[in-house]
Amino acid sequence: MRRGKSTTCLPADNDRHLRNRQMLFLLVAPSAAAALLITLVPVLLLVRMSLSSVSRFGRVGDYVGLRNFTRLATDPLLPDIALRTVIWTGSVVAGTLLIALPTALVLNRRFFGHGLAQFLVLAPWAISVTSMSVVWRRVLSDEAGLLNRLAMASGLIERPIIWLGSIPASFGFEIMVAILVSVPFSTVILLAGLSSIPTDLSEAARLDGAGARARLRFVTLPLLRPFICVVLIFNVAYVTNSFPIIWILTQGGPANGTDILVTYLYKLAFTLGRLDEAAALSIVMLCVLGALTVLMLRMLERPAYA
Amino acid sequence: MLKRSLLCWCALLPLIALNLFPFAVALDTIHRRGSDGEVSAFWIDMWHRTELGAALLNSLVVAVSTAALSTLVALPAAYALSRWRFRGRRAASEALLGSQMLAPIMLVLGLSQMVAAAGLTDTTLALIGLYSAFQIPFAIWMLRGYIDAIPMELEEAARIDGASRLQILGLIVLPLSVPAIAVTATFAFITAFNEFVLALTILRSSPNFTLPIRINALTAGRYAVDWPDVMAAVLVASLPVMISFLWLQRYMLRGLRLSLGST
Repeated sequence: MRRGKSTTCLPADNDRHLRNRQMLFLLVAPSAAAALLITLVPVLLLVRMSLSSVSRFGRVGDYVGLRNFTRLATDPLLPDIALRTVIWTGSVVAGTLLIALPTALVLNRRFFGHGLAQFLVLAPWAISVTSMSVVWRRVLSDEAGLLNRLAMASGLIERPIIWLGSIPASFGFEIMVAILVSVPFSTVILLAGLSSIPTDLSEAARLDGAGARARLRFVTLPLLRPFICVVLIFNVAYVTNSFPIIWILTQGGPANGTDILVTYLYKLAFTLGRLDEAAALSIVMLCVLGALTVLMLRMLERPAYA
Repeated sequence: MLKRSLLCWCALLPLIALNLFPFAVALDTIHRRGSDGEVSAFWIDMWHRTELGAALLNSLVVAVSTAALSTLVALPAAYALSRWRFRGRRAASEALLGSQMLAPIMLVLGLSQMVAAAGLTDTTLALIGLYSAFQIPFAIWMLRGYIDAIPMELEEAARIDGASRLQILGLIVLPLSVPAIAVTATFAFITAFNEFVLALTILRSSPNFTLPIRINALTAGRYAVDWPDVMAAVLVASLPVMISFLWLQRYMLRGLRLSLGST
């Protein structure tokens, strides 16, 4: 089928052609149906809720036009939260790439204990973000905990600190945990990319007199570009939507000081019971995300030498 | 070689230390629990106090079902995307990658209404359905890369020998994709085993909780958290995934390379 041209088939082929199309439909239909069920149906429900007044128990009432959206627009908390989301995503994605790229470069080499090192670098991926966050919450809220003892022993601090008490410290640690959680997956993708680069290319550059740094800059990094793009796309998506870390460490507190859009969305819907506004916020976020996705797919399509 | 190995290890050491830190904290917390009773007694009591058994069972059921269901549905679609040339094929490939942007949390409100309308609130069945559906695009993407790498000539040779389409699928494509299927299913297993937001929203009653929700419930909104118990629960919850990850690690790189190569 691969080389058959569907547009110019002979009459005798028509029957086979039709059966082929039926087969194709059968193969793809279940996946397509599942995808529609979990995107189209909830989106339509969200649109309806965002244009109505909804009780806190989810009963959809009267049509209210754009009232929920104007309420959102005048929500005094939202600008700060949106800005914090951008900071959150930007710093976590940048931090992840800055750590994952050198890590992948090191892991791409052969050395003693390579397998063990790779396992230890990638292992956090397997642990649920929930568990990770719960452990870090313990670390940061425990006066006699390991972090405080280590910091005091090394003379960094004089008395134990409850790290989750202040907003900047909490948010900073949340960013750090998010980076630690994202590094393994990014490293794996970059490692897959590195191992697909033929070694003779870099070998040829070496014979032409290119040093290690020049080889990295002019051979490895340009060839790695599509993989870096994939890492960026996946990470922007995961980090923007990353919920458990902030929810478990601080629930967006103190005083909404560490809320990002998704935690605020969840709070609006399931803690404050303002379901209609939450639906409106979901719609807005979906639109922004859609635009961002199209933009990033364009970026991925650009040829590697550009 | 020795010098290079040392250098490599030194470069990775800070990251590895940070990765191992949570385990150190967990063990340290359990160790400092105030030395009443024996170690085995602590673990047995912990198991009962935290209702970990039921949660572990729920998680395993949900994760295994999700792995099976999502791979089963994705496999034919991946084969079609790999072997058929049709209009909209390119758009379908882009949609696969783009759909990774769509996280459950954005739709969680609509999804919970949908689940409620279907009368499935507070059931693990709802979770299995949603997890599978969300996992399908990634599964198709993974599997397609593998199937692309199966030489077309094998199938053509079989066709010339008179094999039917179904025979080709069953006797050639399927056996050759077994490693791919295993990797894809393991990915789905890990994702479903660790998912948090949807489970938090849909599950209400304690006997239905999955592990992440159980662990969260042990800490959230309580004045006195029994931290040694929590840490032991975290260790138990990490075990099944660690084991599957050990296995996955061997095949993962090759698989991702194939999948990424075809985008």
